[in-house]
Amino acid sequence: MNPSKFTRREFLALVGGVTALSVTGLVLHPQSISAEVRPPGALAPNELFRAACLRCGKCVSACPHQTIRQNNERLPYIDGINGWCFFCMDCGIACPTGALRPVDPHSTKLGTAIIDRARCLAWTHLECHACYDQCVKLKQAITLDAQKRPLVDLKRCNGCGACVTVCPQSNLEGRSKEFGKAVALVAD
Amino acid sequence: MEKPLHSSPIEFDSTESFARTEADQKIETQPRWKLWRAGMTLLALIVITLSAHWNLGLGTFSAFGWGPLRIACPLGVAQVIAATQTFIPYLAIAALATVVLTMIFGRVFCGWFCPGRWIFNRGPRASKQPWGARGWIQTGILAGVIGVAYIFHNPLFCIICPVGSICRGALAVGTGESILPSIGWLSALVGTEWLSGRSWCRDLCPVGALYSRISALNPFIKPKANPAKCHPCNACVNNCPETLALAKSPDLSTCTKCFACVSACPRDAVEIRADKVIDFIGNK
Ligand code: SF4
Ligand code: SF4
Ligand code: SF4
Ligand code: SF4
Repeated sequence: MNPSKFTRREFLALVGGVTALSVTGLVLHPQSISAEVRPPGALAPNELFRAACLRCGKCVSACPHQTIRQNNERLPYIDGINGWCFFCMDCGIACPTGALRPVDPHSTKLGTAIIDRARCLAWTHLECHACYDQCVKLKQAITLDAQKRPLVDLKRCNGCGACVTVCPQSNLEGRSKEFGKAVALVAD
Repeated sequence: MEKPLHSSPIEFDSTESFARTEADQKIETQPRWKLWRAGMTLLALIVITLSAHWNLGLGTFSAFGWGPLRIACPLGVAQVIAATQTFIPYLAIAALATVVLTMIFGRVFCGWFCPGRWIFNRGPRASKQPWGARGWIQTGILAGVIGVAYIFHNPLFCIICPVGSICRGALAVGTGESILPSIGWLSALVGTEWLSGRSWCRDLCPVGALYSRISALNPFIKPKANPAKCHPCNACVNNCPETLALAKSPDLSTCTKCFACVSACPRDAVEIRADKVIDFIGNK
């Protein structure tokens, strides 16, 4: 047998390194601004949802658009980074505890999109209306002002997150996708 | 080339050679339990990952199933019911299904499905032996977990649960997220295990403790040392993750049905007794 070039000490150092990195990441990783935006049909208030959610991730595995993510408490949340919510209610049907339950898609509001004008390309002189183009097809909650800068109608917006998905900003400044978008969902 | 140990005529020792020959034969005749168990755990993880990848919504070890056919982790369900202070019937039914399965198969979840078994589980290699009053201490941990959920209105143990953390990792792989948070939580638990000098699965895990309590109701699959063949040698207790000495007919409720004892016994004395099943069928 040819002994592996990897010594035991190196192996342990590698395992220790990955471990230390992960624990540090867990402690230092900032919580997403959308961490309290729940999938549709979530029990309200948030304290009740926390109590009822089993953290099983069945909703995550059911969502056809991989919209639902788990925060560090393993609670499901929606930030629109991977995809937006189509209000198909698959998550509510899958949930074993009733923390999520199927509701009327037309009257549901998950949260509200807010635009960070300091980073939005349209508000900082580049021309961009990706979110507007997407929202027009869905909810018509984004309008353009005279200078073609996007504005969100807080009443019309249902928090689906499509504007976040399409926002190209994170790609330009080399920020992480998660924290670099110029538009984000916040809980109401 | 290495030679088999007992092939040299100079070191020939009749008793030792006898034992080895029997052990050698055993390897050919016994199913390789460890391989089967690893395969089963891997299969379960792959199902969880692919179900998330293809959005089948089967869920995880915390809650698994399709449509209304669901099983759920009894500890999670107990915590949720304590946290919400509401009895949720369909959730309780899902937990009851798990309880019934555990009554039939014993604590198989730990031996055959839980990936934590391959990460923690120092068993007899832990520097400290099991607590004398292990049963009471584990009941205390269990009551504490449910009590904390009740007081804080939050199933807090679920957040750090090794099973849940691993499932989160599997979901993350399936949906293209980062597995670092899972590794972080798991490392914290492995650290707890090592610092405490104990074995996580044997002494600390509340999930395993609850399954053991339920498994006490399981009359079937039980490894027993055949007294005609067993000359107490401690091979079983040194290999059992639960440190059970079969020669002393211990309480088998913590047995995870891993059959390490069957593979370890040099005299083939461990038998999986099914007489209760036979009685059960025969008495009808
Ligand atoms: S309603 Fe459908 S698209 Fe929206 S989060 Fe639930 S499963 Fe995903
Ligand atoms: S399916 Fe329900 S209980 Fe499970 S993680 Fe999602 S919201 Fe929580
Ligand atoms: S602004 Fe439009 S696209 Fe963005 S979350 Fe609201 S409804 Fe969805
Ligand atoms: S005792 Fe806990 S960690 Fe160990 S196998 Fe059982 S459930 Fe998994």
